[in-house]
Amino acid sequence: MSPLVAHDLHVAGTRGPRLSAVSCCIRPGELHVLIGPNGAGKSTLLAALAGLLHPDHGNVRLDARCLSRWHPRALACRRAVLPQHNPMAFDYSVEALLALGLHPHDAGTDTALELGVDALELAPLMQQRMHTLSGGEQQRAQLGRVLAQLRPAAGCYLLLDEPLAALDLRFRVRLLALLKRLLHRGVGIVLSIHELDTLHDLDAEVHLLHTGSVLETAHGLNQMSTEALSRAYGGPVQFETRAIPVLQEPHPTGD
Amino acid sequence: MPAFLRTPRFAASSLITGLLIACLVSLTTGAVTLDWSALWATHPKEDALTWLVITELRMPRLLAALATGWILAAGGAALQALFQNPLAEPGLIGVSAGAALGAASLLVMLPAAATTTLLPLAAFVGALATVSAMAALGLRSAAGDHATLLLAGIAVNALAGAGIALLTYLASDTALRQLSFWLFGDLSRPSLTLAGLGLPWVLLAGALLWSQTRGLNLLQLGQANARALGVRPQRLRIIVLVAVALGVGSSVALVGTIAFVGLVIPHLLRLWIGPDQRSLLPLAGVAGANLMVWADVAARSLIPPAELPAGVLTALLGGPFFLLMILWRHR
Repeated sequence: MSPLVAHDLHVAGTRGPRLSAVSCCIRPGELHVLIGPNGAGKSTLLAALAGLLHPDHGNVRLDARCLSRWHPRALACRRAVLPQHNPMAFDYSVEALLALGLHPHDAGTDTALELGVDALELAPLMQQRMHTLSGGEQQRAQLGRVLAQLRPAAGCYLLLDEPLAALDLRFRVRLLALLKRLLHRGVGIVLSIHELDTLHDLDAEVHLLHTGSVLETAHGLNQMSTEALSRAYGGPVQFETRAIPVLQEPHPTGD
Repeated sequence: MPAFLRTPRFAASSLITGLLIACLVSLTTGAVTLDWSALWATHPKEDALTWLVITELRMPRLLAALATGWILAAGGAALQALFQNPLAEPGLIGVSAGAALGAASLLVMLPAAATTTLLPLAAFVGALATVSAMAALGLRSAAGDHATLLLAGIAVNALAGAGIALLTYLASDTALRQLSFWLFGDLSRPSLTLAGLGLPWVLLAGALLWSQTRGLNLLQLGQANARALGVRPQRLRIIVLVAVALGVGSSVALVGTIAFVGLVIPHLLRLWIGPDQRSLLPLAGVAGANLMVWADVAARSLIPPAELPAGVLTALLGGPFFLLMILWRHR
């Protein structure tokens, strides 16, 4: 199965480049995490990898074909993406929202919808209208919608822009457990996150972005050099041990 | 409201029942009391009057009311979804005003050429000109840029309004009288031939809009999400704009400008059955047709034998009702 390959991406912006000379390769079953300060280019890179933003130079390929040359619907069947902002002008129910995620697929296609509904506990919210939900509940529903679009199979890709932002401790754990199951099935996943503490449990390629370019890539956060982190975040960064609350979620079902 | 009252199925059956009753009432209401049994009589001579009143007077205005109500409300629903703005309506992107300007120009500049066949044509050309300008602008502006389109619509409306004001100033008394009918919407104008000429375009526009309902639903997730789900927003936008121009242009050509149907009906329907475009758009069409036919019946029977312009009546009914709905929703 083919990887998702970004080659020498450049994206110009009004205040200097939003991306310059970024290359990466996401293989099936791999987890890649984008970290970096605000405005470092995480969302831009994620949008380019999803084919939602055409780079000024360089390209992103899937099955050795440029994303810009894919038919939008065929591409929609291969990758699902959660942008950072998900506005809704009109008030759909959660059930209707999830149904929108199924749009590109033929009826009866096996998608991660049920996995998502289970993990994010969306069943009690189904009949609720989006505008009546809290921020975290809306985020869970939007995640469910994105999972409804994803086929949990090798060669499919999931891109999430700050998926943990509004989630509470419990749903963070459940979402990360769900992502692990998807990785097992061969889905390639790219996340952008600010919550660096959640990275300790993840077997991931971590890319540190700074002013539009990748400063350093490491396997796991603890392999990342403190020099690079210090430079990116604009102050001395060091690794320290802290006691943080950890929720041990039982795993009722195997995969 | 109990859940089953909110289902599209219930809404559809009640609206269609209402529409059938409206059609019957519309055909049987009027200055002349008709002897319906005469229609089935074997001697054609005796029912000539009945036949004439139905084919020449009541049928054309019923068809015109159905077509304009349908397309204005469905077009309003589509535009509100396209702009993701509950205040959008066909008048907003300048189509109605452009069409009215087209008709008004011909009426005032070349009164001799302003025949019943040429006038609708002028209205149609006006609508087409405005929408071509808007579509060109829509293609040039970025896919998510609704503000440009809305602002351009406001500018086009202002221009067309100024043009019409200038024409009213220049117009002779007879032209002025005709002009006022165009601006207020008058269902008594179209003949059966004219209604027949306009209907196919309205049907085509309705079908085009209906074919885009899934895309319009996905657009509600925002441009980025819609594209991620396989929608081509730019293509969707052009199809919806052209369909609305076609439909609204034909409807203005038929009966003049009708206010508020395109704004109020989709809004009420959304409160009733929710925002799913697949049922909202066609049912808004049925509800709009309902409103127009009933408004026409009221316009003819309130102060007989005189007749109010139906457009004035829809605005009179629609405005306060809309205000009430907004107040009620915020309580």
